[in-house]
Parts: sequence; C-alpha cells; structure tokens
Amino acid sequence: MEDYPEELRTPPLALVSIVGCPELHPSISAALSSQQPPMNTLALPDFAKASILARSGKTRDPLAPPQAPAGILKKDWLLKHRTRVPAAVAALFRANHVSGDPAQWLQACSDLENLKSAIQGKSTKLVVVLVQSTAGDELSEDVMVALRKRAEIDSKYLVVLVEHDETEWNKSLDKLKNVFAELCSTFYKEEGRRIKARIEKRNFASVELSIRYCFKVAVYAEFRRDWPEALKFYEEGVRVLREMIATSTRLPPTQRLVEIKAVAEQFHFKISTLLLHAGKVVEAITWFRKHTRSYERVVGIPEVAFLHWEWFSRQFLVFGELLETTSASVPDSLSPRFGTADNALTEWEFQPSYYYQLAATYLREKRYAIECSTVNLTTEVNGIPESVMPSVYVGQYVRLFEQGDTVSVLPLSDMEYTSYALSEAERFQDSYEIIALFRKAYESFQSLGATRMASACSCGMAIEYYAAGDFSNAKQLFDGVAGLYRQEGWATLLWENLGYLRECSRKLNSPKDFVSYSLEMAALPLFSGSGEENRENNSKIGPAGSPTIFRREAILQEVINILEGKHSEGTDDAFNNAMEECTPLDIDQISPLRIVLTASVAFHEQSVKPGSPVLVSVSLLSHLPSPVVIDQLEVQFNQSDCNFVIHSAQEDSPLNSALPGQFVEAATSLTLFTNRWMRLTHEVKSEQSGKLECLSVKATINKHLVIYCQAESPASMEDFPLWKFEDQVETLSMKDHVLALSGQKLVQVEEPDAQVDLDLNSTGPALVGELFIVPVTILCKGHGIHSGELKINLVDARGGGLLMSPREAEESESHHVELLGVSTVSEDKESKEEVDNIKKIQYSFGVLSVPKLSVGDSWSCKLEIKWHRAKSVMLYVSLGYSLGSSEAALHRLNVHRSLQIDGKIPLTVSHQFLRPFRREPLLLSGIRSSNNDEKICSLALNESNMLVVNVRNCTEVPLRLHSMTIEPSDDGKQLCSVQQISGITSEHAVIAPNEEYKTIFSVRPQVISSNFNLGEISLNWSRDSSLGEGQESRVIMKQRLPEVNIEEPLLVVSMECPPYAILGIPFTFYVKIHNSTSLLQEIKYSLVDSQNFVFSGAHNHAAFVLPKSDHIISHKLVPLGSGSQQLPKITVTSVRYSAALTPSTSAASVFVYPSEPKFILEKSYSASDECPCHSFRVPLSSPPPPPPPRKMEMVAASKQKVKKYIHLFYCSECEELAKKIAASSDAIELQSINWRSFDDGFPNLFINKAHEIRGQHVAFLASFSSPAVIFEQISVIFALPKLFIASFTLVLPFFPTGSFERSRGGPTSVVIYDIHALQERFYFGDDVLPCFETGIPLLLQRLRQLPDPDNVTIAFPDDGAWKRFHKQLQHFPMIVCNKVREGDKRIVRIKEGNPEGRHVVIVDDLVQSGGTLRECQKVLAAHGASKVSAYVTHAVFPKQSYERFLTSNSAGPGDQFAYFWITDSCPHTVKAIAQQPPFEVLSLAGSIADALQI
Amino acid sequence: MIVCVAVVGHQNNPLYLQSFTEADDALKLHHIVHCSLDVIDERVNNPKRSAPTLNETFLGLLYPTENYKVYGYLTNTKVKFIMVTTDIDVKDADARNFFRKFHAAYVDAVSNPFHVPGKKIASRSFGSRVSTIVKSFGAGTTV
Repeated sequence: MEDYPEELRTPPLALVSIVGCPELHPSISAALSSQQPPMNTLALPDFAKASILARSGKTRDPLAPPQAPAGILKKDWLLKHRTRVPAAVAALFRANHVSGDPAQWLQACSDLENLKSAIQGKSTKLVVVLVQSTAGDELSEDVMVALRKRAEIDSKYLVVLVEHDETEWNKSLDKLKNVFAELCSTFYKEEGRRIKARIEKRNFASVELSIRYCFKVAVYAEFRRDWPEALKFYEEGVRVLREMIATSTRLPPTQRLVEIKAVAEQFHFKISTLLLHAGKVVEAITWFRKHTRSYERVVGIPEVAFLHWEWFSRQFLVFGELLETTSASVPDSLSPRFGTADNALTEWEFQPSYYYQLAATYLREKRYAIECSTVNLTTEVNGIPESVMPSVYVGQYVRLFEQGDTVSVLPLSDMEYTSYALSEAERFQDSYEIIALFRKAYESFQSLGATRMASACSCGMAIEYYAAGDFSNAKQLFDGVAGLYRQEGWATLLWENLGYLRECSRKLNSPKDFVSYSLEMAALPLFSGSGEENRENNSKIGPAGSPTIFRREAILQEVINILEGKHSEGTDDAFNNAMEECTPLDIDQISPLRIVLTASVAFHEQSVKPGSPVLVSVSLLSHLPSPVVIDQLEVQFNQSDCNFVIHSAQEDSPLNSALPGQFVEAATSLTLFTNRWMRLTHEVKSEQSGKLECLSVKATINKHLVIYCQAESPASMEDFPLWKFEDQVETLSMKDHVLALSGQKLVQVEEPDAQVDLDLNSTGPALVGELFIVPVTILCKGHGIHSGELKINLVDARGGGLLMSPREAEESESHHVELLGVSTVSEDKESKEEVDNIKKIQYSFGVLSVPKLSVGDSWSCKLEIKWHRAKSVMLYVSLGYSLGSSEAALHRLNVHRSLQIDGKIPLTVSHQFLRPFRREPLLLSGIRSSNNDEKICSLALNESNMLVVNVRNCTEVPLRLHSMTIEPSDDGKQLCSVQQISGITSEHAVIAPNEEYKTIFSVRPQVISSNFNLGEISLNWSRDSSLGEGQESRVIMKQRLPEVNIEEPLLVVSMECPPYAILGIPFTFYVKIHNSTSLLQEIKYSLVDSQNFVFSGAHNHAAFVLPKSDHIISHKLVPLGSGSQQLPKITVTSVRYSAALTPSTSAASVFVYPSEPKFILEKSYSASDECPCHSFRVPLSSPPPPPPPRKMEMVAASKQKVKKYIHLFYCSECEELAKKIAASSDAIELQSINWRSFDDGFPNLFINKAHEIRGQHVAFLASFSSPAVIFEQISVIFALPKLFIASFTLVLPFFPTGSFERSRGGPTSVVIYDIHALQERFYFGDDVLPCFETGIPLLLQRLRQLPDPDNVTIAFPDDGAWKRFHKQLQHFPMIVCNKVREGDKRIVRIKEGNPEGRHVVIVDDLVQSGGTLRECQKVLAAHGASKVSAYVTHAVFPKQSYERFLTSNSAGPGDQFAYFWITDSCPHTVKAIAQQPPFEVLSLAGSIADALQI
Repeated sequence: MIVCVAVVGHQNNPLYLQSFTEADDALKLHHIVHCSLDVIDERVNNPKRSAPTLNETFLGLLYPTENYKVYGYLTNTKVKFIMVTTDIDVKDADARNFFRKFHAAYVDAVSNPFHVPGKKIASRSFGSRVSTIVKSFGAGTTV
C-alpha cells in the first residue's frame, strides 16, 4: 500500500488558497485544517505568486475536436487537484493599507486584478479578507464597497478579520471558514456537474475518456464527501475498464494490459477504501472477490505472466493491509453459518492473514513465472532497452530518447517492454518479500489458533529460505513443521518436509542429521494415493522427489553408499569427510526414528535368583524398505556385567576383539527385513541382586552407523505414530503371546539364599497357664552370622494380628498370649549379659541380637510364652544377618520360620452335687422350680451334701495333679463347712490323656441363703513328663463354683433298709418322713409293687405328720429274686405343697443274696482304714459308680423336744387363765401390762420389761368378750410385734366370730377352737395362717372319769355339730337331732340313734341362751335317756341366762342336766358360774400352752 | 470439477486422499486439505458460531484458496470428508448430495469386516466408487 502515491491513499481534501499577509497564514491554515471537514490551504505569501494558480498547460481550443487520449488517467491529475487547484482564493489586505494611503490602495487594486486574471477561466471563487488590528477600528463603508466592486464579489464574501482581539478573531475566522466551506462545496459541485454532463452527453470518442471522466466525477464527489456518488462512479469506471480489456487497441497488447490493470488497481483501491471506511466489510470482501475473479485469468502472454502475478499478489497484499488497518470487524448481523448458501463468505476471508498468505503464494507464482521467462527470453533478446521510465499516464512506460539537447519520448514495443520489466523484476529480491508475507500470515494464524494454516505458512517461509540459500533458518522452520505432520500422520507432507531437511543438512555439513532424516524418509509409510508418476522436471516438487517406494529405496541406498564410503553425486568432499566420523544415533521412545529401528526387550521371568540364568528376548523391528544387515548387536544392561554382543557370522571382520568379561556370540545372520520382527533370545546371568534392566540395544550398521536404540518393554510399547494408520499387518514383538503382551524389560534379581538353618521345636500344644518353652536353634551351614538379629512375633493364627480382642485392648495386661522372655543357652556368662542388654521383649514381639557365629556353629535360645486363654497362635521367627562385618548394612539376609502353636486348656473341671444316700429333702425351690433360673442348684440347710468334682485331662500329655482344694469365699467359711472326703494322695494323681479324676467334698450349709457363693476350685498341676526336670513348673488353675441356693427343707424323706437282703428272708423297709416345719403336714404315700418283693402294708395311705416330728412308714418285705433288685417304689406326696417326693432309683435298690453271705469284716475294715480317702479313677465308658459306703445316717430318732421359751402377756380379764397356762408349762413366763386409762377413758397402757422380750417369742392372751375391752387389747396387739420380737402369737380363746383362735410367729397363724365352719378359713387375711384346735380331748378325758363311761352316748343338737365333732367321738354311740326353727320356737327331733337308758352328752360348740340345749334335753329325756349332760366349748351366756341351768333353779330332775361342762374361754362366765352345779369348767390352759409351743 | 477428495480421521490423520487432476499438484492438495482442518476445528469448537447448526453434518465452503474451493463434511464419529473443487459456482445442494453419497460409500467401506477402524482405507472398490461419485458430480453441474 505504501507503493501508492499519497494522494491516492488518503481521502481528498478541499483546497483553498490565501494570498497576502503571510504573517497570518499559519494560524489561518491551522484553523482551516482543524475544521470538520478539514480543508487544505495553499498559502501564497504575496500576490506575485498568484500566477501559480493560473492554468499551467497550454490553453486548449475548446472548439477543436477532442483528440484521442494517449492514456486513461494522467498520473498527476489527482495531485494537481489536491495541491494546486484551489476551490477558492482569499486575498488578504490589511485595513490600514486599504483605507489610508492612496498609493497603497492602488497597489491593492492591482494585486486584486492580478489575482482575478490568474483564476480567470476557472470556476475558482474569490474572497477578500480585510485584516483589522482591533475591533474598534471602523472601516469606512465606502472603502468596503469600493473593494467589493473591485473584486466583483458579493458582499458576504468580504470578510473582516480582527487580529488582536481573541474573541473577535475567532468569530471572524469562523465566518471566513463558513465562507470557504460554502464556496468549496459550490466549486466541486460545479466541476462534478460539468464532467458528468460530458458523460451524459457521450460526446467523446474513446472509452478511455469515459473512464477518465468517471474517475474525475468520483474524485469531485469525494472532495465534497459525497461517498455514495463517488462509489457509484468508481464502480462505473471499473465496469467500463473491464470492457476495455477486449476492445482497446491503442497500445501493444502487453502494455495495454499493464495499463488497464494499473488503472483497475487504482479504482479497486478507491472502492475498497471507501467501503471499508464506511464499515461495509462484507461488501468490501465481496467486491474484492469479484475483482480478483475478473482479473484472475487475465494473465497475458506467458512471458509476462510474472507481471500479472506480481500485480495479483499486490491486490491481496493491499487488501489485506486495508483490512488490517480498518477498525471495522465482522458485523454481528452476519449469519454465523459460513460457507453456505446464505453466507458465501468464510471465516478466513475476514482475516488479513488469509490475504497475506495468498499474496505470498502469488508472489511465489511470480517467481516461478520469472524463472520460466528468463529461460525463454534471455536467449532471444539481447540488450535491455535503456532509459525506460514511467510516462505521464498511469501504467504506461516510455523510453526517453535523447538526441542532442532535445529529449523526446518514444513509445515502447512489447518486446522492449517485456525485457525491461524482466530486468526490473530480476533486480528485485522476491524471496524476502515472500518470507515477510508468510511471516505476517504465520503470526496472524498462530494468534488465531490455526496451527495448520500457520505451519503451512511456516513451510512456505522455509522453502523461501531454502531457495534463498539460508539453510539454517530453513532447517529450523522445517523442523518445527515436521512435528505437526508426524503427530497427525500426514506422511506425504512430512516426506516433502524431510526432503528439504535432508538437503539442508547436507548443505550444512551435518551428516548425523542427514542420515537420520534420510532414514526417517526411507522408513516413512507410503501414502497409497500417490501415483507412480515421477516428473523430475516439475519445479514445484521439492528436493524430496515424489513419495514412492523406489525413491525410498534409493534414499536408503544412498545412505548406505555414503556410509560405505562410495561417494555419490551431489555431495562434496567435506560432507563425505564429515561422514567418516559419524556420531551414533540415539533412538528413544519419542524419537521419530523409532520407525527406523525399534528394540523390544523382554525377560522371560519376573524374578530370578542371583547367579542363575534367565532368558531375555530381544526383538528388533525396522520399517526401512529394504533389508538391512546389522554387523554387530550389543545389548546393554544397567549391570554392565550382563552386557552381551552378537555379531554377524558372515562378517569376518576383526571387530570382535571384545572386551574381557563380555559375552560374545556369533549369530548366523543379522538381517532386518521390512516390517518383520527379528527375534533373538539370549541367556543372561546376574550375580548382583536388585533390578536388572535392559537399557539399550546398540546396533552397528556398516561399521560407521551406530544406533543406540532404547529398549522398550513389550507390555508398555506404544504404536508408531505414523504407521498406526497404515493398513499393514500388525505383528507381535515376541513369539510368546503372553510375553508380547506383558513382558518387561527389567527383571528383579532376588537376594542370595541364606545358608543358615533356623529350627523351631515345639512339643505339642501349649497348655493354658503354663510357661511354654519353644527352643530356637540357629545352625550355620554355609554362612557365618554377623550382627544377627532375631525377631519374634506372635500373631493370632486366625488372622487379625492382635492377640487380644479390641475391648480388652484397653487393659494392657490381658493379652491372651504373652511372650514372657527369651533365655539363651550359652556356656559363658559374658555373652549372656551381652544378649540381655539388647533383647527387647514386648507382649507379642521381641527382638534379640544373635552373637557372631562362624560357619558350623550353632546357637540356641528358648522362648517362654504363656497362654492365658485357649488360642491358636502363629509364631514367626525371623533371623536377619549379614555375611561380613564390613558390608554390614549392604546385604542383609533373612531367614523366616513360622510355627503354629495351639494353646489348650489342660483340664476341664465339672462338678455335681449329690445328696446323702436315700434321703430326699423337699425344698421350696424344688416346687417352684419352673419360674426363675433353673441352673442354680439348691442345697438343703444343715444337711451334708456331697460335691463331686470331676477333673478331665483334655490334652494329649499326662498331667500330674498336685492338689485340689475348694477355697471358700470369705463369708463362706463360717456359713458353710466344706470338708474333703476323698481326694489326692501325694504322688498318685497322674491323669492320663482323656481320663477323669474325681474328688468328693462334703458341704454342709449352715445358713439359709439364696445365691450362696461356695468359692473356687483350685487345682495345682504340672506336666508329668521329663521336660524341665530341674524345676517343677506347677501351675495353679482356679475355677469358680456356681452359686447355690441354700434352703431349709420342708420335708425330708429318708429310706432305711438293710445293706443287703437275703432271698426269702423278710426285712423291714422304713420310710421316715420328717416334718421340719411347724405346721401339721398331711402326706399321702403310695407304693408300687415290685415283682421281686412281696410286702405287707397299705399301698396307698395318708397320714398327718406333726410339726417337727417324724412319721415312720414301715413295710415288711420279702425278697423273691436275688441280685440287685429294685425296691417297691414309694412316692410321698405332701398335700399342703402338692409336691411329690420320689427317691431316686439308685437309692431304691438293694442287693439280694441268695443266702447269707460271709464277709471277713476285719480285713475289709482294715483296708478301708488304711485308705480312708479313696480316690476313684473311672474310665469314661464304665457303668455308673457304686454308691458311697452305706452309712445310714439317721435323723435324730429320739423325739427330743426343744422347748420354745415364751413370754405370755394377757389381758386383765384372762389373768386366771393365764396363770393356769403358766403353771402348766415351765417354758412360759408371764409378763404384765399395766392396764390403765386416762381420764377421758382412753387406754393408758404400759408394757413392762419391754426390752427383755427382744428376739423372744411372745404370746398374748386376749379376750374379746365385751366390746369395751377390745380397743385396748388391739392396741397391745399392734404394739407388741413392734418390739423386735421373734414371733408373736395371739391367743383368743373365744372370738365371737371364730370362738377360739391364736396366732403364731413366723407366718402369723390363728388357732381357733371348734367353731370350724368352713368359711372361717377364709375369714383371715392371706398373711395369717389360721389353725383350728379343739377342746374335745378335754371332754374325752372328763368322760373317762365318769362312773359310767361305757354308758355314754353323744348327742349332737344339729347337723352342724355332728359334722364338726363326730370324727373325734367316733367310738361313742351317737344321736343326731334335727332342729327346726319356727319363729322363736325351736322344734327338735331325733333324727337317728336311740337315747334310751343312756347317759346322753350333748356336744355343741357354744351356748348363748341355751334354748336349743333345753329343747334337746327335753326331747332326749322324753325318749328315755337316763341322764342328760351337756358340753359346750364356749359358754357365752349373755344376761345371766346360765341361771336357767342351775340345779337350784330347775323345776325338777327331769328338767336337769347331770353335768354341764364348759371351758374357760369366756372368763366372766366362768367367774360367775364356777363350781355351781351342774356347771363344771374344763380348763384350756394346758391346751393353750401346748399350742403356744407350735 | 472436483480435484481432490479426502477422508480424515478423528485424530486429524489422513485416512484416504485421492486427487483427480492431471497436474502433479498432489502435494499442494495435501496442504490444502490439511489446512482446511483448521477451519473445521474452528467451526466445531466455536460453539457460539455454530450452535444452531451443531447437528448439521455438511459444513459448507471452508475457504477459497488460489483456484480452489474447499468443502467440508463432518460425520458423527468425527470423521471429516473434504472435497476440493475448482468450480466457481457450486450449489450447496450439489455439495450436500455429493457428501451424502460419499458418506454412504465410506460407511460401506468401514463396514467391511477386514477393515480395522482407525486405519487407512485400502479398499479398491471404495476407490472406484468414489471416482464414480466424483465423476457424476462433474456431470451434474454441466447438465
């Protein structure tokens, strides 16, 4: 764009001229140029210069016919109009010059005339400016008018400038500016209209003029900033110009074309500029497209094609520059869909870089064209025309011809012009231009992220550098581009690139690069599309040639030739010399040369022992087109000792003077074929432990070329970037598929084998509690031990690692298995101390240092481990040592041993309680056994219970039991006596595996307690083996006995029978039932027949067992069969507890001898004396053990009565009865209560000696005979139990609703005499045991003292009495009366029995008024009873009703009772009627005293 | 006239490239095809511009260069088809039609069980089918 003239590049500005007053010019022109739109000023200092404005050219005769123009546009026309043809001229006069001096006035007038003549014939406007120094200077009107007339101008074109006043100056300047603007506009409009009129009239002959006029109109439009019109006429001009290409014949064709293009270029430039300035980017681009398309093919003759390309390139360059400088961007309104029907443009067309790139491409085209032209032209035309220069017309060249002084301008012939242009073009260095363009495009594309475009530009640059001979730059650029092509697999592009690179490195004398590029080229995959054509003459093909297989082979051959020293054509000596000292090529995994040679190395093993051979496979692959022979192959490892060399056997070169220590092997042939793996397998031996890795494979080809190819593992081998897209067969690097997929190039060399034996000995399982000893022996076979260390670790065999459960981990002591210590077995003390210093022992881990040992030595130690629980444990012992002291840290060898040791519980202890033989207590817990925990065992109080403890050896070794005791708990010592009956003797208790050992203890509990803790069984045992003779390791093992329940038995059933029986001889079988309660117990028993016995006695019977007494059932039995026989089975049932007692079958059997056996009693006794504590060792499968020796322990057979000492309180009414009671028993002591009352009548009682009755049995004799005394007695009844007494018994001889009762200690009981209606049982609360007693025994006693005891008949007045009493009076004849109440009258009849002649005793429980008795007496007497007596337990007799019965009051003997017996249950009655016939009092005192003893 | 067609894999590697010119400008066509990948990248990766047309496989005119026009087509598997033509006025419909046929031919070629995906297309029948399509394209424009 810089090539264009200034006037073309910038928009045209209106031009005005100012003449005179030069001192003001700068300020005026500055003001005008700063105006909007700006104006240029042509400033003439004085009027003498005004002639410049006059038309320079000769005046043309307007009437003469217009001659054909010599060109289209004159070059300087635009410049002229911009710089020399002002639209308006202003003449400046100073006001004082005009107004004052006439001479000055005249001068001014003449100046004005000159000016007018200068602009005459043009439409240039004239303006007169008067300059005043200050605003105040008035100008005379007539001067102004005169001046105006002189200048022939309108008054408004006379402008006054005020010089020295700032504001006035600006104001007047503004006025001037407006005047100028108006005049300019008019001027350019007029001019434009003038030319336009010519176009419209079409009164011109040639097309050239049409174009010229269009141009002029457009320019004038531009002057007045009428852009659309300018655009319109420019486009019109272009249209006409295009038509002209074919039609014009004015110039020789080549030059004509050049001129047209030059003009078109100007037009195009103007249009593009206008469009871009208006922001119409899309239109501009579309216009440009149209432009290029219409001129693209207008190349002209081939000789000058370069001119076309140069021009064409310039179009792109200029448009690119325009696009770059314009601020307009891609409008948003544009459819985003580029490149389709609705938007024909594409993205790149908005980018200047696109145009730069194309400009460069076309410029390159130009260069090719020049090259062609020079070949064709230079030979034909000799001599380049001289003094050729551009003519006045755009795009025309003329030749100056000098003849003497005159210089004439001659037109050129085409031939001349061509040679001129060619010479011009050759002078010019296109390369740098092209590079610059490409660089611009490259940078621009790079910033846009279009890497491929950029690299294409880069490639273009590089080719230019190459063409220009700047090889290092070219190589650098090519290298950069090659990376992209390699990455994306564009082999053909890469091929071209490499071809350049190869030549560059050849030129740069870089043989290594040359070889590597050549090899890469040779190994490149062929693009299948590339044909066979091979036109070497095509200049566009680079030095690489076309990518064919032949070319590849040729390149390879060339390399080989060079390597072999055969000088090929095209290389100089220096290069060949450099070739001689060829440096080796390195190929790694990212190198592009991987396709030339790839080495894949795999070991056949993953790990290997040191010194033992391992196979390693080396595979080589090459993509070179023809086979390559490798002279020597060296495989290198990280352990250089393992390196080996294979050399071809065909080669008989003396190369194999291998280094000592290297394996050299000769292979038959080392030829690499194309795309085929060459596989070699070799054996390697490594002495050093650690990693053995194959580093590289060094291949020597043709002696000079050495390739270090980095080894790759087949497992991690990647595809070849270029070959991966090729449709070739893929092969595996290894024969073995597994190896090909997972082979590794490194192998782990293991540590050498340790030659030390580590022995762990264990004698069977360990037993819980003992100190288990594991001997460890180290035996040095082949190695000596230096700084050895023994690590011991105990791990749970079931996994988990820890030897304790997580919960127990908190308490650190409770490890289940503990490593207690390590003891060394060594002769001298010193080493032991040394060892002790170092050993560190923890619960499950120990470290121990081993002294220095030489070969053949052995060393041992013992591990002491203790088991707390039965647990299986893995014992790991590892010995780490080094071979020598010098390299101690380097090589440590390790020997590991492990051993599983089971911890076992040595003895299982079980126990069993046995009761005394043939004795069964009935315990409350036995009755209620169902409810709570049934596990708990119940023992009877004060009975001796047997505890049998079974100890069983569960191990596989015999154990020695030293002692077995029961250690009672603290309180158990006093409460329960435990004695060992049989057990351990001093030496005998060796228990073989799986055998049992029993010990019997007798346990006699002495207190009632539930959950009584008996204590622990303590066993002291040791192994019965020869191990550890020195110290006997006794172990104490404890096991807790379960808690037992001790209760008092309710009933005890004991069976007594002789120790043996003799066939046919009867014996007595007693069953004794002891009632240990204080209640009357009703029992039932039943015997089941036994087939071997006959017996006498009832099968079923019932009995009452009195409290604390025994009931003995005896049966006589005769055995019928001999042997051990089952006795008849007796079942005793307690009615009260509804529980049955059945003796065990073992207890209920007896041995029957057929005849009297003969025992040598003395011997057997002595034997038992010697060994009183017999220990049984019973095999498991033996029959149940015989019962312990028969010791019939009798429960105290004598009926010894233990008297209860009772304190008896009484109410004042019963004092007499109380005294009688006290007199009847010496165990009863009377106590007194002070019965007083307060004044208001409330009782004031005081119990005397209250503190003495603590813990004693207390009874109270009460009398509820009258309501008045009940209250105070109840107070006492409530008070007495609160005085810490052992028991309390209330004796109430007559209770109005119960007649007679008493209560007793323990469970409170009430004893009631005789009024035993069934419902009375339920009268009392649940915590009271009612006990019904009777007074009948007293009556029976009295009746026996009668004179006629045999004549007595008992009569019951009603059925109730009969029910109550008849059982106790069974041996008397009985009469039962029937009593019917009719209102107050009672009618009594005899129901059964005969009273005739008998002494009839009427028995009833109580008497009130006595009416019944009287009626009864009358009936009996009427039936012939000889005497009638009466007995009532309770004589209530209210209101002295007893008087009716007094003998003194009776009507006669027929109306009399012979005796009237009463008891002293009602004290006041007794007091009243005592000893008055017929009354007789039978005292209850003895009976009560007995009852109190219950 | 179509001077060149190409199939480019999704790693921007050439899978098939065939030129139909007498002149030996294969290299230049390679360059053109390679450069046109930039335009495809730009169109595919610039979501703002191509959002409404994301599902459109036909990419339209990629760019005009020298005497050629480059058209593009992108399959679902990111395989690109590129066509270089010297025709001045190409109707979009024609180009679409051409690419559709070309795509069908490609699908048939890669459906061959002996074809390894990602490798170059070596099928001869594919080549002949493509040249038929190319010829018919030229014929279509002249008629």
